[in-house]
Amino acid sequence: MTTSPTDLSGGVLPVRPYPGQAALERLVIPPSGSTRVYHVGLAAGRLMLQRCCACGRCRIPMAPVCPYCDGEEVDWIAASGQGHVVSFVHYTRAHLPEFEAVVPYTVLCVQLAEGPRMFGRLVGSDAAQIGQDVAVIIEQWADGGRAPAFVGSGGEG
Amino acid sequence: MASLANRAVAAALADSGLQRRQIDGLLVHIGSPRGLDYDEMATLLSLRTRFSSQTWSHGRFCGTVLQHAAMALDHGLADYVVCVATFVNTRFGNHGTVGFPGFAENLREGGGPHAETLHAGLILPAGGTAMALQRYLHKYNVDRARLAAVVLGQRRSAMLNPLAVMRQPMTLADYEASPEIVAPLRRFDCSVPVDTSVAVILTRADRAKDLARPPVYLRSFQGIAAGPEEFVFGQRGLGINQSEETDYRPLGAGEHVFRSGGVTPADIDTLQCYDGFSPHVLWTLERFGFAPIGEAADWIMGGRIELGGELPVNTSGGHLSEGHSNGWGQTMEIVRQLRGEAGARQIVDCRLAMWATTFGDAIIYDNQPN
Repeated sequence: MTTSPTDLSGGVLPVRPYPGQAALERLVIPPSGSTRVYHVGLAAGRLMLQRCCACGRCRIPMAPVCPYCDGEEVDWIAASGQGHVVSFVHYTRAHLPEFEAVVPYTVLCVQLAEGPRMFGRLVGSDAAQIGQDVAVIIEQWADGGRAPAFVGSGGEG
Repeated sequence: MASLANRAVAAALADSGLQRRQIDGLLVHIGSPRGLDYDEMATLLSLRTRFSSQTWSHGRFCGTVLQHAAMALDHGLADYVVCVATFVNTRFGNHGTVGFPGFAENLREGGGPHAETLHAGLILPAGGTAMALQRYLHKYNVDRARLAAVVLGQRRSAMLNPLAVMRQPMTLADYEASPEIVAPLRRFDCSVPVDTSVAVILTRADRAKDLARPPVYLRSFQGIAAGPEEFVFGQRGLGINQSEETDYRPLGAGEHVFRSGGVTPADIDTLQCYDGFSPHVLWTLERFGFAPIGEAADWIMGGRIELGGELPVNTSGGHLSEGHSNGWGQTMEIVRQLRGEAGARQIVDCRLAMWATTFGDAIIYDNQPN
């Protein structure tokens, strides 16, 4: 897989603090060479998506081969942050201590405007509906780690 | 754990009339940390094998293990393969290894084994299934309350099974009062973790007829499907995880297991399926052409999948009520049903039994040689 130079212009997303003092560290894969752009993007307030240079489609998860055309060359784009809810679930208990500050909470499966689907917590509401428009935000956890989440579109959540 | 495994192996040897030294193949499902790895299994159980293998420590590989054993026999790699599944789930709490400190598996590059995405709070195997269920209910306009028929039906069968861990009666009110673990899944939609061990000995049909007990034959089988469009705990086409939203049309009767076995879904006398969560039963019925896509919840009404119905399903109680044996309890039930030894649960004239999963593998068993 080769990676073209990264354009971090555009697509700046809201950054919110994650409630409480929990650290994100043990909930995410440590950055590696092939995911560096994603992590640099989050630090700069952007959700960076891999895009296949051959067919132009974006994909999640980050992978060395395009699932649509088998192309191996990628560039990266900053996601618009727009998407709609494909499905959702509600958690009434915190099965990991990191989520005690937000339970009960809702997790969404969102189809991003760029095509791929992404899981994320719904921030500021428990009420989700399939088909509902949502927007990506970036949450900053107490240890400085950042991860994408969602808010209802048009609302501050 | 070795003592538990040996109880199963010794029982299988006694059933077959074979001596331990005749076993020359070993296939293990579920190794460390939940079970015994193949090498320690062989050492501790005094097995001496020339063909040995093991699958990933997840519940998916019951069918895979049996298929690998059959293929090894076909290629002369062994004459008698013992397939052993031994695991101690209670050591890891109610949620299996997912709740185990470290849970490194959830941080695989492509996401956890059931779509676990920890930073999003999408935790537990129930999370991925619940996500798929919510979409399924919406896409096909299915009444969520109808899942109760799966749960209550399997409990009624379990009450006739002395090996089942959940044998107390369950009413619809009990079901509806059970807490939502990950909505829309209730506690009683979730399987019951148990510690168990099952051993199954496979040999070629020409050798099997000389054994102590009536053999059960593998008529046909097919493997697990994988790839970006497959989500292990949901149907294709739901738009969950990397499976895109599509107008999914299952192969049904066109699946390899039916074509190569020369039978259709209508020929199957009992379906025993993977039911980590109750919706898996609906999705397996649809994937393998027993029920039309999106209609399984209606199709199962009126006791259709209970004992005495058209297609009895998970007649031992399944993972939901007998206990989560990763398919091995269902495999034992298939053997009992095809031998006519299922007692109060016996299906009349049971000749063809099928194992199948949401994730695509299947075995059709026959009590007659091909």
